[in-house]
Amino acid sequence: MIPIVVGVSFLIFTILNLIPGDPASNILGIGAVQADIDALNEELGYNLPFLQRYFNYMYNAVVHFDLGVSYSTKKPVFDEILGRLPVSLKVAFNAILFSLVFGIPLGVLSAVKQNSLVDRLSTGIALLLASQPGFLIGMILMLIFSLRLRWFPATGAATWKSYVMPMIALGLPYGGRQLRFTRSSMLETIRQDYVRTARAKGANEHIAIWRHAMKNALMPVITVAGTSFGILIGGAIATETLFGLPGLGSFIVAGIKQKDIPVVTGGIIIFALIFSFVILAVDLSYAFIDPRIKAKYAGGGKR
Amino acid sequence: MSTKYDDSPLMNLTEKKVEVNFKKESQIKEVWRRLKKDKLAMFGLSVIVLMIVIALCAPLIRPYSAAIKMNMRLKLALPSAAHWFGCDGYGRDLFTRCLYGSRVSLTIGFATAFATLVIGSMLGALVGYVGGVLDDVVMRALDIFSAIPSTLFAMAVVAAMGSGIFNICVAISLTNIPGFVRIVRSAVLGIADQEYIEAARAGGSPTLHILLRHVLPNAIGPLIVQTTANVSSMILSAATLSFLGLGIDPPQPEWGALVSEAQEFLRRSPHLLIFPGILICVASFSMSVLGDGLRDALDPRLKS
Amino acid sequence: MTQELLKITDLSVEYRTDKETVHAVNHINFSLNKGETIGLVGETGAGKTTTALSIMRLLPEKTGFIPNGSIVFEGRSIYDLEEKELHNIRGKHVAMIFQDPMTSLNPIMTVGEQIAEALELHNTDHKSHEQIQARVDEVLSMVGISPSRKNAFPHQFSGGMKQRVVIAMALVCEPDLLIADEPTTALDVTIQAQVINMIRELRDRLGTAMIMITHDLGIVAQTCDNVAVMYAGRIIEAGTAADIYKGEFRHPYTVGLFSSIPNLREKTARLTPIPGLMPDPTKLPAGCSFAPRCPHATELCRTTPPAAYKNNTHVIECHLLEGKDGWTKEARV
Repeated sequence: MIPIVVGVSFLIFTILNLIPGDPASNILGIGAVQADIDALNEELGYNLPFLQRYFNYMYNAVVHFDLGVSYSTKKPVFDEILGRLPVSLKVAFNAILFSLVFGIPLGVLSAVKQNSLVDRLSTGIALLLASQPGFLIGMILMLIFSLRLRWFPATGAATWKSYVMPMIALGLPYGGRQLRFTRSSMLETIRQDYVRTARAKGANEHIAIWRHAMKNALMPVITVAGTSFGILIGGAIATETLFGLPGLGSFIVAGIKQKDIPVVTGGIIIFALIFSFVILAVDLSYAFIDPRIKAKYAGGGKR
Repeated sequence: MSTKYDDSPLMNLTEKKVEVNFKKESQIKEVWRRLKKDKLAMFGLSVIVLMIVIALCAPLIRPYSAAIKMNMRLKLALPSAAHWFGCDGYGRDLFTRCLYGSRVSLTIGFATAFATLVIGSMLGALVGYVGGVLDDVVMRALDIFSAIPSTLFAMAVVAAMGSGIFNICVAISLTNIPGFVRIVRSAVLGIADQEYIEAARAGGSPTLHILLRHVLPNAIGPLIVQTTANVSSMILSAATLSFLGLGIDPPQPEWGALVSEAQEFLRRSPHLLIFPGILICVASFSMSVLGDGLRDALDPRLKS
Repeated sequence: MTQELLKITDLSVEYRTDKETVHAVNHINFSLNKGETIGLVGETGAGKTTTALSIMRLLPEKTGFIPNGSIVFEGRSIYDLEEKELHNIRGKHVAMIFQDPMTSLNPIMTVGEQIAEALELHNTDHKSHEQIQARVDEVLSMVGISPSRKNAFPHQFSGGMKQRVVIAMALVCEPDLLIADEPTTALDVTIQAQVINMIRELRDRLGTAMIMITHDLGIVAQTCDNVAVMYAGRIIEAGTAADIYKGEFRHPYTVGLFSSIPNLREKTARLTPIPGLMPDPTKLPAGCSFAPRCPHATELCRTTPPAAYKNNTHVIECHLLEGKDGWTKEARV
């Protein structure tokens, strides 16, 4: 994982380095004296070779947790990010939970009752939802529930109520995807020989499905849930912006508009870091759940 | 190439003579036949085709100027005979804006999907065939690319390069190239060891020829499915970027931008959201359904 | 007390899809007494597995249909049973082992758990946990696996060992009937012999009746008292093992099957397989289903399905037996 994180940081750093303009001009603003600009640039190390700047940046980040200072707010980027991260995490976490609760049971149900009305309806709706962008669903929700019905606040992060619509807006498309994947995984698992063996032993449908099919079917579902987290992050950014939540996503967006390079660099790297962590966690959890993988790590292995 | 079984005189009419036909045309027809059966997929296909046709004919329906002409007297006008979708906050005709917005969104979607298909496939073929250090380096690079959520990456690129259609296209494509590279690479690796490749090489077939004749048929199924999925996701990515204000430059219309513009006036003038919203909704859904149908048609075994 | 364990009468099984109907099994009859072993022989597609699945009522729900016939096990009609009774019989009175051990076992449960499950599902005399575990150990030893391995997962066993686990799982409740569907086909030849021997020993020890489904005549010779040869969903020849292996007359298909086996003692330039393929089960031919491939086929064979000709225990469905001494003609079902 570490080489990837390093690679990511290098990539982002490089890309953002392409933004025209030097830091001092941005910090000091229009109308600053050239001499002051040059002096500040020198101080910030702007004139150093690219690689050295990169190393300095990484060194500061890892050792001192210093991601630079925001051009616009003049505050340390790290602190700003830390302040906003909880909001983003709350939104993401709620959305994942919502999608799992909504998607998995319905997916299982659809698979067990394949081709029934329940199945066709839910797969149709799931497909519809899964293909929509979060911000669109969010706006529709906002229109109905905030502006017309006044059940939830449209923007801001005042109370827990502020988090409901973002959770649904972000969670519905994700949940649709979960439903479809759970369904196909279950359908495939139900067909497996070992489910037939269970029935031949005298297990009733309930046991055959729950004990044998489901556990096997859910394993890939969890993996896919983890790796789809990347899509979730993308949607989260738009959702935060739409609902005016002071999260990391909206922070980065604002940073881009203001050409606030330290903010954007730091923010994207942190997001990418979180994403990598999630993938790692999913991989590890797989090792716990699937005895075949556990054996590989423990050295048991196949005969 | 056909295979016949034993020629003994005891052979009779009751067993099927199996003729294995590798001609591409019959395969394509077969896929098309299967696709036709999927009513939902055909619905999706017709909707998309209809949208493309309308988008192409846009200048014949309304002039572009109508999309950007402001008229404050018509501010937030509701739908009427003169203005089918009503007008936006600057009095611009929403229907025309949606119309030209489709042009932008669909162009971005298809153009980038096609570009990533071509670039990704070539890179994948190259990497798979050459192998070695190049392979390792490229795959590592792809891993790094994949570790960044695509929207974030696109945002970074836009931040660096500025907004505008071309830049968005570049930004979005970069995030999707790894997918194609992997598909083609694994198709190449899948058959590279096969003996008939060695035979072809020994027979003097040039590399390109081998790649086209042997690798391509293997990869074409997943490539088509991936491309369809990409068109859909790229339209959405572009819309998301525009929604965030990082995409195309105003006053150019684009679906995401139109939805973003609707936010300010959402309560009193929901029509600003509804019309572009329906377009996004229908287009995405149709593409998804078509993609699913294609996937099932290309390999019926995958279907439940 | 009647000796008859299983009686199948005029059984037909169809698989119906939107496009077509596959006539997998057509009007078969056979019966099995307690402790007997019958070999069900035939090529792939003859209907053997379908027959086995229908005995256990494990046909695919949506596509498998039984248009006619009955299966009576221990005096009760399988298809008239309630769900609960069916689940009671499966595993406890009738057990089945399937062809591919690689996929028959649940990959995320230990083998001990899976064997124990068979006991727990039929735990009418309320064995305690310890008793169940003891029994699991016992049955594992019986199949030659050390009980210490009961907490291992299926992927940690080789193919032959996996199949032994499957056998242990099937026999743990000491069923009256064991259906073995090509139990060794997926295994190495050297392991095949081991597993067959083991099945034989266990059967002898427990007195289990067995239906041995196979295409391997060697296995049939080693294990079966009676044999039924299936072709295109019908039993075209049936009898004791002696009848089939040493009888004077045989169905031309059976002759073909025997000739297809390479003979270690004779030197031949070529093997003599049976030419052609089994007929398409969606479009069965008008007359005898074997006529298209039969070297002795006559016009009658192609137009009229043959009746069954019986000689003591030996039954053959073939026109060629018309008028032969000792063979009485019976109505064709």
